[in-house]
Amino acid sequence: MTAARWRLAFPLDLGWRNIVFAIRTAVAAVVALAIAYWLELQDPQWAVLTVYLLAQPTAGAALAKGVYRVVGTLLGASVGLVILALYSQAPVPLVGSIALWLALCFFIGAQMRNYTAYGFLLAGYTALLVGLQGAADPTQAWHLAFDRTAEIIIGIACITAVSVLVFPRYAGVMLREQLAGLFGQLSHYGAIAMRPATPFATFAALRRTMVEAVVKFDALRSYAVFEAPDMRADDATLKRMVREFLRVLAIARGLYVRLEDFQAEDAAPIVARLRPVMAATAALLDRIAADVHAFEDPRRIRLELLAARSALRAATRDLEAMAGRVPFEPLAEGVLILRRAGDLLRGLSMVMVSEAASLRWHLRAAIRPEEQAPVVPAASNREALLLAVRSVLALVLMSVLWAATEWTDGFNAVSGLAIILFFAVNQDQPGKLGFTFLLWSAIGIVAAYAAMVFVLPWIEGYEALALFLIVALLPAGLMAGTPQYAWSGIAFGGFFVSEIGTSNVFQPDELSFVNSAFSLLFGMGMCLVLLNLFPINSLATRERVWTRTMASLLPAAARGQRHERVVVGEIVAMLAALLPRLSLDRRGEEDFLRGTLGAASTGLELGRLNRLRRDADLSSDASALIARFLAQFAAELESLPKAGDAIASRVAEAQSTVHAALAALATLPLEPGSVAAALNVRAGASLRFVADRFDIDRAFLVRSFGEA
Amino acid sequence: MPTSGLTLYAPELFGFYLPPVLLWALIALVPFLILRWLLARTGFYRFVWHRPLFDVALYVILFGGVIFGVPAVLGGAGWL
Repeated sequence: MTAARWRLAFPLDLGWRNIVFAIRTAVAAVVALAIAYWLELQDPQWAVLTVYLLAQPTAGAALAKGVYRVVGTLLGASVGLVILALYSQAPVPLVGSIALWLALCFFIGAQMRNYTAYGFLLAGYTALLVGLQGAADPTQAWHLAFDRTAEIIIGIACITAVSVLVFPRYAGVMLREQLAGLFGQLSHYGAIAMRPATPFATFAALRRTMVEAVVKFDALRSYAVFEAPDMRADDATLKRMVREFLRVLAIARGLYVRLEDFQAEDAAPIVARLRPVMAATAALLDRIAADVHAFEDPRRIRLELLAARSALRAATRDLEAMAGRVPFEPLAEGVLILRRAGDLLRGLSMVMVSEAASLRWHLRAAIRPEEQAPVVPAASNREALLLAVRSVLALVLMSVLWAATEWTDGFNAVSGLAIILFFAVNQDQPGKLGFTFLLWSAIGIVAAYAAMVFVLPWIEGYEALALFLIVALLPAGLMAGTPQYAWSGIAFGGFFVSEIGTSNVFQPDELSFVNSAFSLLFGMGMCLVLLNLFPINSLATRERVWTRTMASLLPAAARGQRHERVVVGEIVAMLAALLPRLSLDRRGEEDFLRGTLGAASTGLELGRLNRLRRDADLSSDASALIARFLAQFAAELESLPKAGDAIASRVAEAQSTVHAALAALATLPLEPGSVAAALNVRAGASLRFVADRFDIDRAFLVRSFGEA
Repeated sequence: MPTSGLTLYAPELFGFYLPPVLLWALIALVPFLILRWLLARTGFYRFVWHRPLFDVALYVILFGGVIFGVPAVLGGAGWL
């Protein structure tokens, strides 16, 4: 019971894979230390710190990080040496040029994604270390740059070697496993959405889990494409899969809400036709979700999904044939439900197609890759520029403090500041993560001090030290391998082993230990304060996505200037690029995610309406009505970004436009069983969908997705 | 004596002398945390444009208050 409660409060992953990960990381640290000793490098702790900073549970991630880190380190060390050679005796140009280089690295790094960014940030960091530490003793600068570079490369080599040699876990394999799991979960989620009796809390909780799973899948995808060249070629298809997942999520939610409303209304013949086909579809999805071998036979699953889609289409035709005989609005809602259920199945089979294309290369020739989606950088230009300015400001402030106080340990404060600066890149809430990192660094340093005083004096020989370090580092490794404690574990392990006093000859110097530890933590803390004073987050990018969607993409879909699938593709691509930066535990950001997905589907429906109005079979009254609605609605959407404080009333106007159009369409006389009547019902379904957005995604429409 | 008001107290921790400013900074943290909690409870932060900036300013004022104010209240000339 106590153990269970403890596990709940501090859920460390104690599975055998994680234990292996913890042991192999500790062994890598010890081996790196041994090599650094053997080469008689100064400050061998940098090699072990590198091991921990690089510790990743998958092999692909370690390899990718390693390569970029080596390149970044070499580049940074050379730039640091050049700056030193030019200005070793002139503090102002020295700090100025290092700050400029740092700004450049942050500016480029913030706009890149993943490890390219990592390489650039490290180039800035290494230049800063070599430049500033070397300035204290310019005659030793070359040695310092060489030792630092060699230590970092030793660390990289050791961690990469163990993660590739000892029970390697490749991201590609994990991706495949996760994909199969995710597909099953998604099918289950779809089935739940289609069941009328699901309580909202259950649905919302499941939806949240699904979004998290998709975000995790996206992160793993970015690791995996670094791992193997054949996967890199498939990145476009994998990205498409993530977008398809997001679409399925959005559709399922709308479907759930619509079904929920539908229950209350009295439309017996519609319900009688709708219910069995929805139940059959839900049962199929449940069957697919339970089928662990679904991915071994994608053809069969796709055929089943196809059959279910034709059943839905048949039901839609039957419903459309009822036009004129049953009330219009419930009929339109029924058609909408069937249409969205069909879209959901289509999304799932698209995932199957993409899976076949990307992870089963022997089938690849059969499928043509999708057109390249627009590339959206991780951070906008302006955001990257702000990040660069902020890092320069932080560095200059700390250097001024260092110079003004003639602080002997000022360098440690600057390096602590630089470490925290790295967390700030593309982190919307660096404070929270940074503080945890600071706290666990402090705990690691205290533990190192205790070990230095109480344990190290009793240890003789490298073998005993190695054994002690491996055992002492196990908890840190277990933490580093548990996703929610990864950074805490890295900080704890890294600073424990690097501060423990690992110079070639054991000379415990308590005074310099305490001084350097305090200044390091002080630098980290000051950096956190600065980061909070100068927050840079994705809010501006969110605003831009919103503005582009409202002012140009949706009106273009309504007017038929661009095909609705292109519009949907662009909106979802913008969202997918922002995905890693959204914290979905904050209401505003969750509203943004939902709203954007809803807007994508709105684009789809507006495009459908636009094509429908040109259909020759549609009555001229209905056609004129839809054309009027589309023109007015497009203009109203366009005016939203400029509405300012009046946005709520503008959204209300747009909502009444949709409702007026829907009401007007419902009053048009219908000839039972005619094609025109069926088309009217189809238009009604699209309008119903757009009208629903104003209830479900109101927060998004009134642009309130900023502060939670 | 001109130095009578200058009582620099350097706290000691496991045999290390810590800078006096660290002690003042820690003392200032107590009223700061209480005030911040109170202001958050009363909804005062709704009127604040930039909360972290306000917090830093508040802390700096309290820090200054501790350095200059407390000795004045206690009847000394101050720590500095």
